[in-house]
Amino acid sequence: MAVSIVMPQLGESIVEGTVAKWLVREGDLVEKDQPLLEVSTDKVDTELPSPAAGVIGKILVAEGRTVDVGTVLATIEEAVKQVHAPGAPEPAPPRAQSPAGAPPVRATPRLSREAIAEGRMREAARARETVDRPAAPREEDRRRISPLVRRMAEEHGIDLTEIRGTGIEGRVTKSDVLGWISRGAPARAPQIAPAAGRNASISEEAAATPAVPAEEGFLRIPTFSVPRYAPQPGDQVIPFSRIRKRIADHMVYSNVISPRVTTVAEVNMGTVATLREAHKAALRAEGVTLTFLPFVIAALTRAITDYPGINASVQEDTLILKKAIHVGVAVDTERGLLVPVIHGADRKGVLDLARAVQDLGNRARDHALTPDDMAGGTIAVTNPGAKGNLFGTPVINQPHVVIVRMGEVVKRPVVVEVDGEDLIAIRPMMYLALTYDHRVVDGVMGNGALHRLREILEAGAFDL
Amino acid sequence: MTADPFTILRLGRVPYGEALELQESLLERRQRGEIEDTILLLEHPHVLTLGRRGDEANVLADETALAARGIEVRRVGRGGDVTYHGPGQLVGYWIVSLRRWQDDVGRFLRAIEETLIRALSPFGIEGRRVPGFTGVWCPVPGQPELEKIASIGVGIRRWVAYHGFALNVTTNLAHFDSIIPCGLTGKRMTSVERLLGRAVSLDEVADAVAAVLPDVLGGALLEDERVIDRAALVGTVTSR
Repeated sequence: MAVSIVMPQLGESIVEGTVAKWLVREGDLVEKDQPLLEVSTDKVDTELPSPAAGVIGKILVAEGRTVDVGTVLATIEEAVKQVHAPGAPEPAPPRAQSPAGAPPVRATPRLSREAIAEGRMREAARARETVDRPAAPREEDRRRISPLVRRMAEEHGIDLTEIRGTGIEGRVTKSDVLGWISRGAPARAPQIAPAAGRNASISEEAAATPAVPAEEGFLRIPTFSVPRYAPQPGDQVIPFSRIRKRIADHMVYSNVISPRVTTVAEVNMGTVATLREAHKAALRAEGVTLTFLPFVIAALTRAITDYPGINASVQEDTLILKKAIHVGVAVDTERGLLVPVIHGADRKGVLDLARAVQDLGNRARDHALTPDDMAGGTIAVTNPGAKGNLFGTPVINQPHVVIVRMGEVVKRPVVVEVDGEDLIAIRPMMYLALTYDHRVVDGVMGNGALHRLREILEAGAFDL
Repeated sequence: MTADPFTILRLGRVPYGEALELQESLLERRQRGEIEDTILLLEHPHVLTLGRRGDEANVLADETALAARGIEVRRVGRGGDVTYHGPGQLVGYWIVSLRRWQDDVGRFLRAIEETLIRALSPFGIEGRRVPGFTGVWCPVPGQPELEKIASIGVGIRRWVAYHGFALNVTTNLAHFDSIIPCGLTGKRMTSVERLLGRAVSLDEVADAVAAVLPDVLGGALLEDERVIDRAALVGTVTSR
């Protein structure tokens, strides 16, 4: 049965439209809702989706022509079965539809007659083995796709050309594929079943393929059903704000992606406390509070010189050691936690770091940070500050590999050696935690960096 | 009109390509129903863009000369002809479902115009519609012809729109001399600054736009956020 594609009524006042571009050719197999052509009217450019699945018949209106609303532009033969005629090769599976797409009906192939005629028989034959295996990636893509990613894509019937890569040079990474699956699969899964009814070549097995790879890669995220919430008097129901959602996603991602280890050192902050007292008043005059934080940042930048492996990021299966040292500083705001960045922290003295911390904190709370303030961090320090805070295990600010967390500085009795004699003395002490991503930082480096950090803080020889 | 809620995201100055990528990402999410209608308010560095109907002939200066002035030329998937974006111009991208206007693109365009006309009014600027010439036009004392203060061009994909308007606030209008704006020969562009004889900040005009949107859209404003972490925006947007 033929279905007509007509120039749509795009609005009451709009009486005609121009065929800007055909996105399909005569004889192409199309899926329902697949974009067929672009129509432009004054100031509006619209993609026209296919009203039905089938084969494009005659195209009646050429590109560039303007016609009245209601004019037939082309016809579609609804002939899904045609490609399964005996003797014809099993069709290559459709490219995984954009998830934006209406139901990606997997059973409706998108292999055009030309494609077969052009001798892509090998692909078609390969596809016969399993309907869920996608066409091989184009050669130029193959170079940039890791075997793991390619295998995942094959298992899930994903066309990698449809995924925007976030890896180095735009390459598609494992997490891109996982993201694609998690976004696309839930919507797709229920739609496979009816499609299977139309095309016996889809096996039950294919329809039952789990959304997340079970064996490949590092990740398998189990599902868990949270008990349904029944409203209780007095409860407050607060939908996530966008910032909250972003924080939540980031924290879950970080928690899942990085096997993190926290190591804690006890640091005598006596020398730093003396320095702080000496310079507090001068900075106060500028409206800047001198805390212990800028000393820790300064010490961290120096520890990085000896342990460059902690100032790094992980991109897929590559470690990138960063030359620049841009330290993120966790700031609590009414909207949630933000981590603005002190750029080139290693080139600043302690007092300048104090000014930078104060400035970022003020602007974070005044909603006056700029995108540049948030970008480019290579490592982070968090100083929860609240009383009674002994030590804690932070979550890594991705894609960093290390975060340092300060505990409260409190006076504690400690054993010190004076003139070869052990004495109990009172010193301002701090538990300092360094959390590292054990994918790329091993214990020797993690502990070594923390120990160095402690040495620098206790020696107290800072450039102010 | 339906009472669908919407969100405003203020992005500051964003390179054209990056904003386009963000629009496309949000468009896809809007199509999937993961996010509500979203209006982006921002400013671009210098760029000339040609819509689908854009005629290269309407770009008067050659690309090398433009590049020397730091202006790039890009062809994009919206309606309309060529236009200029740059500092001092408030750009509004509407990632919205057309169902608010019963899938009528004409009514959608009129709503964008309505928003700008109402937003300009508190500044003492009278914006007008000219039938057949989508955009917002202003009478200029002593001039026989209306001058154009805002251009409009949208793309529609699966009944979700993207792109939107460009309103000249303190735009350097000389940059329009490189083109025939919107392919309209002999039409002059104007700006808030030129009409008032004083500079007005983009933030002030953005506030005015944000203030009239709930009324024009007939829906509640969920959030009006100054976005500081654009990279994260591509990855995460509230789903409700």
